[in-house]
Amino acid sequence: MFMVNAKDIYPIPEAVDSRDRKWKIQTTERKSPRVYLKQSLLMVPLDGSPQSRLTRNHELGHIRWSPPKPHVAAIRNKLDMDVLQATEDMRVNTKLADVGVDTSSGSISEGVIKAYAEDLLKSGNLRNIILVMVAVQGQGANEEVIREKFSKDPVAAKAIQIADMAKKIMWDKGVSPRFKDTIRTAKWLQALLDSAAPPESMKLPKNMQPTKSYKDHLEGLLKMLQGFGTGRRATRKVPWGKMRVETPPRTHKVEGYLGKGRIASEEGVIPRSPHRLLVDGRVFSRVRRQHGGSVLIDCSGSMSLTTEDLQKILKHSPGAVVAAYSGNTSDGVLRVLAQDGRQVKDEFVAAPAGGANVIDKPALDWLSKQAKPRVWVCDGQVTGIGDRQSALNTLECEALCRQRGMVRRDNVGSAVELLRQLDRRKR
Amino acid sequence: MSKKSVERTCWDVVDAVLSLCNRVLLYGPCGTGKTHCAAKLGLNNGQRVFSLTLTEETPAAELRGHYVLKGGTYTWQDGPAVAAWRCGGRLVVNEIQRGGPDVHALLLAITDDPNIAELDLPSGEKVRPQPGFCCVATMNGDPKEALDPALQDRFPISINIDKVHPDAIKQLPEDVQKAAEKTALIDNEERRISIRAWYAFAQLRTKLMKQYTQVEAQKLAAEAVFNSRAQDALDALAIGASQEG
Repeated sequence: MFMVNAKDIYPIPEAVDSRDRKWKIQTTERKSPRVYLKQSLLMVPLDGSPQSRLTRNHELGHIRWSPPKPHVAAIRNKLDMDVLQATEDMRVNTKLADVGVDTSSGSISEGVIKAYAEDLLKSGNLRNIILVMVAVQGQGANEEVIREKFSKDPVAAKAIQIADMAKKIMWDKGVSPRFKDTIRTAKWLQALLDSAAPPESMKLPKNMQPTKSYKDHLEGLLKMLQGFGTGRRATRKVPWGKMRVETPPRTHKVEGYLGKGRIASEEGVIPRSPHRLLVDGRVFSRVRRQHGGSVLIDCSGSMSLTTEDLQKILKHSPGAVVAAYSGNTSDGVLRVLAQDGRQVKDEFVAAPAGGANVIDKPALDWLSKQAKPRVWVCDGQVTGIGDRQSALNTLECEALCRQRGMVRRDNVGSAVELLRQLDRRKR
Repeated sequence: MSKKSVERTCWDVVDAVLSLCNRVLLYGPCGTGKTHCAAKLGLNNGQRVFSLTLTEETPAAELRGHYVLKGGTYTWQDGPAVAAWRCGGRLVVNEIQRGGPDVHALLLAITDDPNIAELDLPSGEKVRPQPGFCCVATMNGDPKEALDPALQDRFPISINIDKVHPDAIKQLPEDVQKAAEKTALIDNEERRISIRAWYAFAQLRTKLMKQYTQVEAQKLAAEAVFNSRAQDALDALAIGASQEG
């Protein structure tokens, strides 16, 4: 039987490195291996256990396959470093198995990985759960343990689906993936994580809070992504068309207010502006109706909106900024229909361009700069130039909505219902 | 014609100058083929080679020559240095930095300028180097640190051998060539894997493949040669064989 020496087992980075570098190797714990390509320093465990060997091989994989400055790639592609790192770890793990390295043992012992999985589930941080599930793909026993633990939790089970899809995207071409495939997959994952982020910072009015549970929201996203598959439509973003803003004269006056604001007052319960005590004594404030709110209407063919539908929305958005948009093949027009309590003539209340979307994201960027509350009337089908769809485009719009507190309503009926509720808000 | 200059290695320099110089020092990490090169490359027609590896205990007499008892009488026996002088041969001194003070003193005389070099032997004979004589010394490490300055001055042409000789690499199977070339030059002795070890691995693997499958033969050969590093070595070969990026 082959005997393992008690002394340190050194990996051979020189054998995998295409450059002539003098490598320094330092021993470290199994949980914190590192490779510093610039300094040619490899920090890995040097004992004879199969887990330590896989850890060493994983780092050798980085030396062979990863670029020396991944953070530059992350910045250039607008990716979070942890997303890129998890995706690259998945690529290295799966590539190791592909070249014939035994990855069945995993790189962490069973007890430790179980405790780690339980801690993750307790924390409830879905982003971390997803990233760990992605990073552990291809890690043999470790992957099995995490899968088993996560599959029992309804939300974490979605992380398994996401990681499986990420792996499919990575290996979609059927050949051993390269770093550009990591970028492609990481972009997809980043878009998904952004659009699945919990709406913490939205500060939406009560009646605009998401009605779907987080799990349902994620399920909806996954369903949509499955529809796009794992090929080009899933990972290749279609460029957005050029948007032109059209502001016809607003000749009609509209009565009413949708927005609200605060005005300083001498009476109240909670002092909001104590500094005013010495100025005018109006340290309290009260809510009052005022011009505000904004509504963006998708007038593409898939929405099948009539002039009456648009009039209906305008009627229920008094004092708000209302705009409609639609696109041609490579550009589109956003037309402001109402603003500052005034509205355009009826002849302008129609789709401002062709029947395509093309400018959804530029239009949303416009909406994100308008007054709150922000409502987007759209069926969720977004397209870029050539009226082409892509999962990344859809996720980008979804993420922007969540980040900038914009609420989407699928059809005129539900949009009008929401606008009515906003109109009825207590002062 | 391409403007890109061809990258020249130390071995190209050695090939070009070895036959033209009478005192050359080759230094660098062990296992790169310095000794092989000193004994085999750049020999002029029929030039004889006399080799000696120095240790701390090597006496100067072994280099110069001494009396030996033959048939009841003492007869003079030339050492490699004097023998090389007499026939205009090549003297190869391995591990030159290891020699003691008396050896170094003799080497100073041996490697003196050929026009003035002269040695009085204990037999009373006076010898001078014949045309064609040359001395090629080899050593590990840096001569500036390990060699006496006077002796260092005797070797104005000293070439740092920082690459394994391409012929030694060519003898290995293609799948281990790159790994062997790099691991043979690792400074850390614990980590270094010599060309000889890779060669032994490749030979054994080929022989074992007659009885075992390729995977088994490879594993057995690795375990025999690399011991506890066997699996790491095989994994590194597998990773290194894949496409970069």
